Amino acid sequence: MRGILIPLMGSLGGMSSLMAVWFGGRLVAVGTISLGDFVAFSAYLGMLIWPTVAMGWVINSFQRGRVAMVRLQEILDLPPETDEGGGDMSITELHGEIEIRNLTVSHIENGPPALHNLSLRIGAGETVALVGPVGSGKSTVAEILPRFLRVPDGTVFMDGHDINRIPLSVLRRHLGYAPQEAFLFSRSLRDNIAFGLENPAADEVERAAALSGLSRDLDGFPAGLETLVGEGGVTLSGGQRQRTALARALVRGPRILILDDSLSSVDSETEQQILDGLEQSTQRRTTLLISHRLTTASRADRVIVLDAGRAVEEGTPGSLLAQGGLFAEMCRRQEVEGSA
Amino acid sequence: MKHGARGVSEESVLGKAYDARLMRWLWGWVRPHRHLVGLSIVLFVAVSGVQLVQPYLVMVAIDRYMLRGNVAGLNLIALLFLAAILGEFLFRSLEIYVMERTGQAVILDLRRALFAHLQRLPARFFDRNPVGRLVTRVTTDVESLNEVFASGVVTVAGDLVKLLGIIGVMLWLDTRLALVTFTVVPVMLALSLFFRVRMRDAYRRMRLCLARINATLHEALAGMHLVQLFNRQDRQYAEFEELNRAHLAADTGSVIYDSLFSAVIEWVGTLSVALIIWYGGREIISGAITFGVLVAFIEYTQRFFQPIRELSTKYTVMQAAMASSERLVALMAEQPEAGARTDLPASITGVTSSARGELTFENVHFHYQEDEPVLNGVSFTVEAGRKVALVGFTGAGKTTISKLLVRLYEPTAGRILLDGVDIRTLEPRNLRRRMGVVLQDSFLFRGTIAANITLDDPAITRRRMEEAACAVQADRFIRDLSGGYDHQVQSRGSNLSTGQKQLLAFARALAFDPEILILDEATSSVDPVTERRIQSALAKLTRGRTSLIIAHRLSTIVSADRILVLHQGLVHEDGTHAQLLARDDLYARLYRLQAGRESRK
Ligand SMILES: Nc1ncnc2c1ncn2[C@@H]1O[C@H](COP(=O)(O)OP(=O)(O)OP(=O)(O)O)[C@@H](O)[C@H]1O
Ligand SMILES: Nc1ncnc2c1ncn2[C@@H]1O[C@H](COP(=O)(O)OP(=O)(O)OP(=O)(O)O)[C@@H](O)[C@H]1O
Ligand SMILES: [Mg+2]
Ligand SMILES: [Mg+2]
Repeated sequence: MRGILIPLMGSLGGMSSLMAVWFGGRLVAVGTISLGDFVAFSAYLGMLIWPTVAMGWVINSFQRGRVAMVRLQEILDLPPETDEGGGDMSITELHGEIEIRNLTVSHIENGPPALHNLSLRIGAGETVALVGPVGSGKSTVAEILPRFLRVPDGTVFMDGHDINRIPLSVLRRHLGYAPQEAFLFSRSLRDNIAFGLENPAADEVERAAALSGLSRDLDGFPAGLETLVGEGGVTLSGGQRQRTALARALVRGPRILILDDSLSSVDSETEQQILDGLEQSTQRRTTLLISHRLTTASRADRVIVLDAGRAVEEGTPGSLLAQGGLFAEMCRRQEVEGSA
Repeated sequence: MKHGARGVSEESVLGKAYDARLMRWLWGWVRPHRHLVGLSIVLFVAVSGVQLVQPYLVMVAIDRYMLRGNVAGLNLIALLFLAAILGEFLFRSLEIYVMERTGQAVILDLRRALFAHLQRLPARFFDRNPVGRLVTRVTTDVESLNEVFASGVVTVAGDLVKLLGIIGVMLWLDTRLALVTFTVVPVMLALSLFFRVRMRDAYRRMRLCLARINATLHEALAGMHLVQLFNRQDRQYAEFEELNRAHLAADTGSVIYDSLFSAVIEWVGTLSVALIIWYGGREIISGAITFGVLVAFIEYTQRFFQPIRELSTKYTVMQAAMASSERLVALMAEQPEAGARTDLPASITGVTSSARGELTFENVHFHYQEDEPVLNGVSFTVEAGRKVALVGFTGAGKTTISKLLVRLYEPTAGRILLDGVDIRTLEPRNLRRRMGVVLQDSFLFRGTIAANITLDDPAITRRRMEEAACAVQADRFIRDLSGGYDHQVQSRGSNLSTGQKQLLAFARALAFDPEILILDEATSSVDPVTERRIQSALAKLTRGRTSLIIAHRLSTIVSADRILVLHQGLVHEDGTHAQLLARDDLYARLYRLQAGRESRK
């Protein structure tokens, strides 16, 4: 486009001079107009060129703008996840009771459901473990609670309120969520842990770090909490990254804590210390504990076993073990003695 | 500073518009296309030529034909004029085409070289450099070099020729009038200088802001779910807004100076026309010059100001290009991964074992950061065909050991031997071909499941790919996906569960049929039942293969021949499960915890 437009611009100017000389010159020659008229005429004609060419430019950039606008519009038109129309502003506090009723949900529209007709109840302050094979829908349950995954009305409740009616900011304020894959920002460890705090107090961050078993690692870092983390967390070990993400969730003192296999890269001793610490802390919270480690899951008050999106077993760890179903089999498989 | 050493410079400097070292570097890229550059300069001179002829023709038309009533002569002039216009159009189009082609060709070479170079950079480099910044290098910085061609900086020489041509013609037409006209030139230069400095500063700020906006945006988008989860939208927005405002301020500054500059130059141009009419008019009256000369002068001055006006734009473009070159030079100077080293003895004398796949760590020391040792003299041997497990507290350095094995990093002291050969003397490519590694973080690409397993390596048959998937029990879930092995995986595997991703990464390592298998928490996100199945399938598949298995879950390592416990940078325990239990140290502690023997509650 440029390749034609610029030379065209130049030639249009030339054309106007040509017309002036050829046609105007003739008029001067035969005496119809004076030379002064001719000069003035050429000058005016010259002035006309710019706007004409500019029109071309404008039309051209306008067209490009329109293409860009369509693309922007595609993004702007996506419905934001807001509370518009649905949010019940009178809800400001949550106690942490969760109930799921006959929920069937899938990640992609009209796709295969990740959860089938799932019903479960977690009382306020209870610790419930969610276990099950790969891809059985555990993380999907976790993602529903902060409403990362939209559920139909009347299927998920917190404190008896439909989750879709709880204002998003209220809902999320009460959640401490350590996702299965820990993502950290390229800031200091302190800033990463304090990510969810408005006005982080130093001791709050330190306490959360200690509770997440980071103390020993921090002692090894000369810069301690001010250590800068590489993008996404690349300069930490897998377990350090997970525990930082855990500290980030804990520092908010959440009413509901969701640990989505978030200690899978942590050794059992450190893991037990962390879980002991969490149990002993005075704060009352509901905990959803997802884990592939059955010794860990067995610490929960209750265990729910998912398989292919359905809850297949539910009960105290002891009763499930006695029942001899999937949970019992999983435990047996994880026995270290088996083939040692 | 611990991981604080931040790599490649931020876009902070926008220095000189000309720097001999950088020019030489740039020229290195332009050189292969110098015939194109030469051609476009020739074309540019041709354009200038036919442009310069035009006012002269007008002059002739006025003086010889209009004022003498010669209509036939006018027709001839009109024809010549038409030829000049057509010539201008033709040469100009060609010139722009050639110029942009050159730019594109140079950019293509540069992008290729950059990408190839990035692919050869060591892991350390990527620890320090955020993706957003590297993307800016390969896109924005390279683009700003393209501007050099698109804006015609290369033809600055042509511009000068053109200016000299105009000055020459004017002096030739009428020396005195020319000198009078030139009196505005110093004013013009002073103004240009004044504005140039200010425009440059505004421009520098603008680029800085833009780079920051890019980097912030990149990370904010990557971690958007966390921003939302932690209700950080307002603060994140405020951070973004601050950068945006700074950008707006810088942009406004440059626009103000830009428009002021144009207006002032326009005004000076008009002033010179007034001068010509004032002085030239008197000369016409006194008969010193003809009417046509006056008109031609007016036209020439207008053409005279255009290149001067453009010079300042070109100057800014050049400055930006220099700054970009500076950063690209720095990037290209990053030391690539070491290849096969020849300065080391290839093998320890006499002990080159004939067995395939024996791994030895000899007193290996390593740190990522100077003041923070990770390994303090690790020594162990994995006999060929043996399966050895590595356990230890989180952060003990297990992953580090697996990275050292494939030479993603190199030991700071001590050495690692493969079949008695120092791995630093091997070509990394050959070394890595022999090793199958499942990294702690599984990474999937956008594409089909099959492509993620085979990485599009034609040497891997469909059958082998499916066998690998079956061995790791991935076929169970793949069958349920629409399209099976042709199911589309989204970038980073976001439409699969974490365990599913891990299984695919595992299958990938197996499909390449490596001699040595390194599994770093390869089944940490897999349930026990599936894990047990994988183990029995693997037992058959990997019989006789050396394996190093890193795991926190002891059920993962039960089948190992030997277990190493890594603690405080050293191999703290080494023996079979039974031996280590008898030792009753760290391993025994971990074991009791996992067996649920430790008293609880
Ligand atoms: N790229 C890096 N740059 C700087 N330090 C690093 C880097 N990678 C790891 N470290 C540090 O090196 C130490 C050992 O890390 P490594 O990943 O080897 O531990 P690990 O034993 O695999 O732990 P985990 O069980 O948690 O995965 C940690 O303290 C970690 O912070
Ligand atoms: N974003 C997504 N789009 C489409 N399908 C998805 C998406 N996320 C998960 N799935 C599918 O939904 C099912 C349940 O996934 P989910 O992540 O809940 O499993 P999980 O029980 O957490 O497994 P794991 O133990 O591997 O973490 C899986 O079959 C998975 O492939
Ligand atoms: Mg999951
Ligand atoms: Mg690790």
